[in-house]
Amino acid sequence: MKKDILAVCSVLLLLAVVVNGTDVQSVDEYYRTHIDDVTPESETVTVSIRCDAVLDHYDQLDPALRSDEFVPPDGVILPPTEYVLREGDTAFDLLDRAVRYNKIQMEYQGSDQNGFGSVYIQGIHYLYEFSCGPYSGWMYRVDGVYPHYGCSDYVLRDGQVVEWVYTCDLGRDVGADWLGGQGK
Amino acid sequence: MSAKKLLSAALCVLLASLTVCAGLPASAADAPGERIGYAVWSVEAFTVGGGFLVEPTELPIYAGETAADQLLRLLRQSGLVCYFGGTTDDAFYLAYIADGTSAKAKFNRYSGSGTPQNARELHLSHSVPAVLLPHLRDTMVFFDPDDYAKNWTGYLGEFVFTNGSGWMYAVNNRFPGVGLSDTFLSDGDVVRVQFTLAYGADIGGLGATGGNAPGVGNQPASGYYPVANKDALCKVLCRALSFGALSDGETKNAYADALAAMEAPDASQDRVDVAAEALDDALSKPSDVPSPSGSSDPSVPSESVSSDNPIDPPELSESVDSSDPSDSGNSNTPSDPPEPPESVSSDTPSDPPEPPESVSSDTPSDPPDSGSSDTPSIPPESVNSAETSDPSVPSEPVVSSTPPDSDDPDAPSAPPASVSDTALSIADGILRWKKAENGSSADDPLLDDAFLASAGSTAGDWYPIGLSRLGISDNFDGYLAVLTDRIEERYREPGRLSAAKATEWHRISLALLAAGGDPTHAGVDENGTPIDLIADGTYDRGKTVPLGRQGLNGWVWGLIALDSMRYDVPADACDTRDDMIAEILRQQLPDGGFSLNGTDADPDMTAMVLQALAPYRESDRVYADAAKTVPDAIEDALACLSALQLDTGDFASWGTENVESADQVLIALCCLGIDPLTDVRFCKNGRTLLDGILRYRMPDGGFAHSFAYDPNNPTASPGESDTMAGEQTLLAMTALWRQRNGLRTLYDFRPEQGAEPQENATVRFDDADREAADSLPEMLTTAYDATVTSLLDKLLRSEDFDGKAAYLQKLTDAKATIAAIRAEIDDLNAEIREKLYPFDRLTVRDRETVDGIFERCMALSEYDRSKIERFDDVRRAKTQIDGALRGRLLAVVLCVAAAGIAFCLIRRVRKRRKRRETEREELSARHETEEAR
Repeated sequence: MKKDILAVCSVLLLLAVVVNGTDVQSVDEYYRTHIDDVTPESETVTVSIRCDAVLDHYDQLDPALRSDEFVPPDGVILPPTEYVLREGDTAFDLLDRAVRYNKIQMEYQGSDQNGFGSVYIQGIHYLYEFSCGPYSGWMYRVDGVYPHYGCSDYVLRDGQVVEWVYTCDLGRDVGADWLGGQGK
Repeated sequence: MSAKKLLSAALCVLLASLTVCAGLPASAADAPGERIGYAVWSVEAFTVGGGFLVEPTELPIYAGETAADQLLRLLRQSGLVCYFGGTTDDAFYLAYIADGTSAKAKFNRYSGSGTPQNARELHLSHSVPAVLLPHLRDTMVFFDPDDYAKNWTGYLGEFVFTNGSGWMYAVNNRFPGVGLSDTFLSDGDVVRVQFTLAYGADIGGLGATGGNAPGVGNQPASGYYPVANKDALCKVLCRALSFGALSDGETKNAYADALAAMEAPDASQDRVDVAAEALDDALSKPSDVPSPSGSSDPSVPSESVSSDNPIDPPELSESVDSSDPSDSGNSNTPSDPPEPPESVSSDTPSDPPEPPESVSSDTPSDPPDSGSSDTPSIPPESVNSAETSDPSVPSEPVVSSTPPDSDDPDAPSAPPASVSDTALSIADGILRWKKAENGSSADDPLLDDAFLASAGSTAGDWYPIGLSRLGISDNFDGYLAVLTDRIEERYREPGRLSAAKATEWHRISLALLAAGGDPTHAGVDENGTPIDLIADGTYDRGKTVPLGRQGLNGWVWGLIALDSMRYDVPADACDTRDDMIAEILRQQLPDGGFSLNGTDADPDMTAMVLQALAPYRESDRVYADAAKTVPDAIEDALACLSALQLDTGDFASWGTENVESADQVLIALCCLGIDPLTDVRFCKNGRTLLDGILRYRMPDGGFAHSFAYDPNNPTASPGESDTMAGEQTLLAMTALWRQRNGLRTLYDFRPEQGAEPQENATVRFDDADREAADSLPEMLTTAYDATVTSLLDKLLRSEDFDGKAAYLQKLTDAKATIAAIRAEIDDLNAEIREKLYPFDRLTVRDRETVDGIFERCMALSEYDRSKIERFDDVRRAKTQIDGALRGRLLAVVLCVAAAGIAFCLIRRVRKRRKRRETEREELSARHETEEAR
């Protein structure tokens, strides 16, 4: 009789394990697959991608791009999303992760391919530099400030907010005061 | 497998990963602020015979930053790493200075300073000086002269060699009792970070360590020997080093003596002072020193003034101040006895300054070509004759006609360095820096395989243009081969060189010309038709995308490219020269300037417009919709630039003071035939454009873009040499050098007047080439791309020889293999983007895809795999799927086990029931028989 009870118990236990999940991993494997899990302890950065400015300059937009598919009606390509900050992550690393994870098209020029020595973002979501007039392209700001440095040189810190915005007027339409303000 | 064990294992994994995930503390706080001066830093390992780890270097000081912040910056730019306790703001303790190539996050519980730029190894040739040995043997608990080699290779810091070793630092020859995080430096400070073996007793700093360490009590209170104050010597060495190679024998000897005095731990004060003075004197001799200064006084021709100011390039703006009494207190080179400032300005030049108006009038040019009525503004052949015929611009250096002042017996009698030499020496410095950054040695060509990887990009094309226009020979054949290859490749893509930017065509055209190629025959397209970059990129660009799609830049550079060889524009062209000029003129702002966005004049854009319009500066043609003629527009633009120039000689663009704006203005003036160093419109407060440019020169020979500091981004370092600043300054120096030597302007690639037409020499595929081809490895990687491309190009052009066919086969195959690998890498990158994300959607069903991608990545060589973007994500996806698969297998096994046990259980229960039944039957049968009885 005792044996029966033991057998019933082990069957139940085995089934419980199966129901609970049988994902057995080493520490390395766990770390590798859960590196982006946001936990209360993790350092994070918030990333968003917007193209509101295009809505105000629709007449300048490349006709091939005049569609909700490329320019969402609310201008939001990626709403503010929290990502885990890994050590040494730059603004570019976080953008790259965000567009990969959300399957957003992005094209960039590597840091060895231009004179800035930093990655240059050419296009996001099929919106490229000059797609909306000669003063258009992508810019980024961190905590509301437009840095003077390329995005792959900007090492982020915990809690920072990175916004990628499309400008149609070299930044002035998106609040980049330092642009065009020289000599004043 | 027991379920309990499994559960506890899972729990362990969870706990462990939580600990791992806990993360690291936030990085150091911001250090905002303006540059408030310079300090001289050195890092010394003299007590172990290891010389300088970091040679004396000037480092900018930003307001609010601690000495610890500076030290980290110094080490980062020197290619080394350090490990420290505390933070740069609090309780900073320098534990180790170490090999930069293997930077770790932590070492012996101390935090690392991060991977430096141009990381280098710590090569410490150590041999503890004899003078220290008896002291150390007597007083140290532990002392082993071979300890470093045995246990610490690559790390120099606490407890290496002795129990009393470590890093100490002196500011202005005093060892402060506080840490670097509590030290704030001011202009002119000398900071010597020194390795001690004996709590400071060997470097004159015994009192600065705490008194509690074991063995401190054994040390003689007054140290091992008197230690000299070497600050002045350190500064002179810093100055000497900033000049780069010392050519003169006497200077070399003085330098060697100074270095020996510096490195001897027990050198007497006398020896140190004598050595410092001797080196200082030797450096002040102008023949040995490239004088970086142009004219610090607008009324003095630049050639005659520089002899008085052998100036340390990085501190130029301050040193030049010595001629300005109001700023004289600011000089941070007290060891450098400046000539009395009066002597500079009192040297009335024999040549009166050239009035700016005369520039256009006394530059004779051939009458415009009246034959082509369609384009009357086509520049005449000799429009650039300004350089050759302008009497005020001699090609030979002018020896100052003023005799040395009689009250100045030390005044040099040797002829001063000419502006031409100065420009050349600055350019040399940039090339030296660029080669170091590129990983090649100073004597090797810059255009090596590593550099050629960026041919056809903005990072790769401007340096070859500068090199070629300076007449410096380099691997131009290889560059031309790779560049042509890239052009052909990009011409097969939909947007060709670029979807929006015509400037890609323009820059590449200039680069081709510089390398000896022909932009109108830049390889062939997919149909075998020659690629004409000039047509496609300038006058016919509008047939696909408007030339001005990217704004004013497109028009300006289109015109520069078109005029680089004065190319003909066919009658059916989309845009003529006149169209381009008219479009540029229309965009002039009311103040005479130009800008990318049409509102505020930008110095760079205005200067580039001038470079484009320069060939038309004589034209009186009036264009439709344009208010001014070209000469008027040029005058107004020059006035606007003059107004924008800062008191320091340079400019601010987009609100940031930077070197590139001054570079572009200098190039523009040279294109216009104006002497940029004497024109009064471009001398501010006694400072010329060249002075403005030299503000940004770094001790390594390179140039910094700017000194502006972004408090939000302490990682990006202003005041460090940078590619774009270097290339534009290189071009500016090239323009200046060409002007001084009577050559055509920077972007005018027509043959020099009177030059022999070059014949095409026969090309031989020589032994070195054959050896290079023979030594290609069996397993090719994309690292060999440039080698194979340039060898194949040379082979195709070479004269026939035995075995040419075999080489042709081998190299053609190699090229195809590499192209296939490149395609595979591109394909994998696209597939990874397409198929791996988002991770939470990946299931066991994607196993084949993920395994396929993973295996293809692993099949690549290590070098090629490094070209896979986010290979980590591939590993992650594979791990995730493997885990899921294992989980599924485990579930099946567990279910089978459960079913087995259940089956046994049921059988047992049934058996038991059956047995009970039979027993009952037997019992009832027995009952029945008993009852029957």
